[in-house]
Amino acid sequence: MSVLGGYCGKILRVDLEKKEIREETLPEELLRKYLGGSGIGARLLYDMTDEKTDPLGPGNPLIYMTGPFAGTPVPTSGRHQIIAKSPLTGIYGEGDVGGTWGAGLKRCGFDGIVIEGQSGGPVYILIEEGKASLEDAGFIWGKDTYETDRLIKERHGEAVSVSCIGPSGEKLVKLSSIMHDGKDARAVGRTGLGAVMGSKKLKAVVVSGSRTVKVADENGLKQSIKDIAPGIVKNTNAIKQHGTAAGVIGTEAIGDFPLKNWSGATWDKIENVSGQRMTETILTGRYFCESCIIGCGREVEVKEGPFVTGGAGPEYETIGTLGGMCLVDNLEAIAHGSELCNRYGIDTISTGSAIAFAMELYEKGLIGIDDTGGIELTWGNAEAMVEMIHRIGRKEGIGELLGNGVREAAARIGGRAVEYAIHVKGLEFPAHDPRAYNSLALGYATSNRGACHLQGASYFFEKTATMPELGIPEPKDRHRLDDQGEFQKNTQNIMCLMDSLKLCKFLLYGGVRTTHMREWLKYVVGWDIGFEELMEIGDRVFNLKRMYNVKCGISRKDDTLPPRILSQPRREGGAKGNLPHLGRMLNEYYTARGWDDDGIPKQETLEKLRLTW
Amino acid sequence: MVIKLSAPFSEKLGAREISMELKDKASLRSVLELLVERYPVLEETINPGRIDESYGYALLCVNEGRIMKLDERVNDGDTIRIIPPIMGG
Repeated sequence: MSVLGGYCGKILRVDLEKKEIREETLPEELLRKYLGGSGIGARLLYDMTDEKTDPLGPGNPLIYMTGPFAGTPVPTSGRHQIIAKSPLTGIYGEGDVGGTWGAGLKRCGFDGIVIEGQSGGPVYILIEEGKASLEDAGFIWGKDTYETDRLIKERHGEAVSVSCIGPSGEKLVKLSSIMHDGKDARAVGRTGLGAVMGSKKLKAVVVSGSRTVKVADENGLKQSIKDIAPGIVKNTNAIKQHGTAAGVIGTEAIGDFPLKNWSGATWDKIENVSGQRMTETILTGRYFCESCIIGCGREVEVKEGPFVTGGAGPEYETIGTLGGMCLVDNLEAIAHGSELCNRYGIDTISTGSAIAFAMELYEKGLIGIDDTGGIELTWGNAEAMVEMIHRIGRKEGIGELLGNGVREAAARIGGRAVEYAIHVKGLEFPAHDPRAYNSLALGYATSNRGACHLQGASYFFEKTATMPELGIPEPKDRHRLDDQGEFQKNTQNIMCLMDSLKLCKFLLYGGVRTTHMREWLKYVVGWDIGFEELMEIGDRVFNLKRMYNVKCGISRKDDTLPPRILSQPRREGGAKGNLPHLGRMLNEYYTARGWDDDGIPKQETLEKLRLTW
Repeated sequence: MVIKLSAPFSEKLGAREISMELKDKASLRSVLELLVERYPVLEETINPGRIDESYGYALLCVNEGRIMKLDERVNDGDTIRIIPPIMGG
C-alpha cells in the first residue's frame, strides 16, 4: 500500500485547556481501513470516549475530518464531517456539510482536526498556511453566524473559510448547529454539535491555505470526471433549477411530505412552498459548494414586509419542518425563519419539529398561552413560528424547554406530551415519512445518529437512483414488504462510504456508482480498492458506530418508531392506509447485518470486519 | 378519466383539472400525447418524448400515489396527477 496523493497524512490535535496544538500523523493502515470523514471520525470518537463521557464536558472531542478527495477536482469532494458524542441524544453524533471549509483545511496541509478540553475564555482556532494558533474570540462572542463570518473576514481577509457557532451554541442549546460560509449558510445541523463547540468556549475554526493537493494520476482523473460529469449535470437538473425543494410538490403527492406534526395527510397549499414557487418569486441566485457541479444551493431575497431576508434560501427539509409540520404556507416566512435559524445557529429540522410539537400541545390544551409567553401557537401561524425560533435561539421562556429537543421536553411536560414527540433515539424526524417509504421505517429505526434519512438514504433507490452492483438495477417499490433487510444494510454501507470519502449523496441521482468511487481512489490516492474491500469498509464504519451506541446502552428496544408512525396511517393521499411492518423488517435486517436478536453485532461479524470491543 | 395538474403545468394551461374520455384502454404515453394535441400550450412542458423514465427529471405522473411508467395502461376511471420530479432533499 502506498499513498500517492489526496491525503496530507496528518491532523491537528488542539488541547484548549492546555492551549497546546500539535501535529499527528495518520497511519496509512488507518486511512485504508476507514478512508476519512465519518470513518476516521467514528474511530477516533470510539477510542477517545465511552458511555460515561459527558457530551458537554471536556472529555468529549470535537472532530473535523475531510475525505481523500478534498481539494481535488472530484465532484462535490470539498465536504467535511464533524463528529462528537451528541448532547441531544447521548449517543453517536455527526453531521456532513459542503461549502468551502473542507477543501480549505486540506490546502492548509491537514486532513482533520481533533479539539479536546475546554478553553477558559472564548477562543477561535486560526490555521493559515499550515500554522495553527488560538486567538481571542472576544470580538465575536455573542455575534450571530453571519456577523461572525463577516468580522473574521474583516480581520483575516476574504479568502478564509469560517466554521462557527452562533449565540445558541454559546448558550449550549441542544439543537445547536455549526455553520459555515456566513450568509451562504452551509450547516452541520443535526445532533446538537454546536453545543459541544459552545461547551468548549470555541467560537470558530478558521482556515486559509494555498497548498496544492497532489493526485496520483492527473490525466486519469481528468478523463474519469469528463466521462461522468455530463450525466451528473443532466440528471440533477431539477435540483439545480429549483433547489433541494424541487420535489416538494411530488413528495406531497406520494404522501411523503410532513404535515401537522406527522398527523396530516394531504395539503392543498403545497405549491405555495415549493421550489418552483421560490424560483418564480424570491430566488436571486444559485450556490455551488466547492468542486460541485450540481448547484442545489439557493440565494433568496425578500425586501419588504414582516419577513425580510437575504442570503441562503430554505432547503427542502426546512420547508418541510418550518412549513408543513407547522402548516405555515408562507414561503417568505419560512425563508425568514430559515435565516434566523442559520444566524442563531440552530438546526432547522429539529427546531421546526419542536415548534410543531408545541403547536400540537397547544391545540390539545397540554400547554397554554401562559406557557408560551403570550404566543398563540396555532397551526399555520407564521408569526408565531418565527417568534418561537427567537425563543429557542435565545433560550428564553418555552424556548429553553424546547431547545432540549422533543424527547426531553415531553418528559418534562409529562402526561400525554410523549405521544406527540416524534423522534428516534432523541433525534427529531427529518422531512420524509416512513409510511410513504417502508424502507425509511427501518432506516430511521436503525440509523446510528437517531432518525435520519441520509444515513441509509434507502428512499433514493425507491425514486430514481440505482446501483446494479448491489442488486438495485432499477428503483424498488416503496411499499414492498420483502427484500428490506439486505437492501437497508447495503444502502447504509454505501452512505457510510460516501460520508467517509466525503462525497455529496446527490451524486447518486447523477448516476455515480461504486465503480466511480474506486476510480477516484485509484487516480487520486493511487489505491486499487476492489468492490468487496470498498463495501467492507462501509460495513466496518457502520458497525463501529453501532458498537459505540451499544456501549451507550442502545439495543433492539431503541430500534423503533413512535406509535403515531407505527399505528396511525395517513387517511388520504399517496400513502393512504400504509403502515410499515417494522418488526418483520428488523428481524431480516439483524440477520443481514450479522447481529443477534437484540441488535448487538456478533463476535464473528466483528472479527470479519477487524473490529474489537 | 381526470387529469390533475400541479404547477408549473397548471399555470401553463390556466387550469388545474381536465376531464378526458378514453374509449379503449390506453397507455400513459398516448394519454399525454392526446393531452398535448388537445392543449398545444402544454407542448413545451409536457411531451412524452421528454420524460426520462430512468430519472424522471422532466415530470412524473402519479396514480393513487404510485409513480407511473410511460407504457403502463390507464383506465377510464383513473385520476392522474402530473407533477414535477420527486428529486431533492
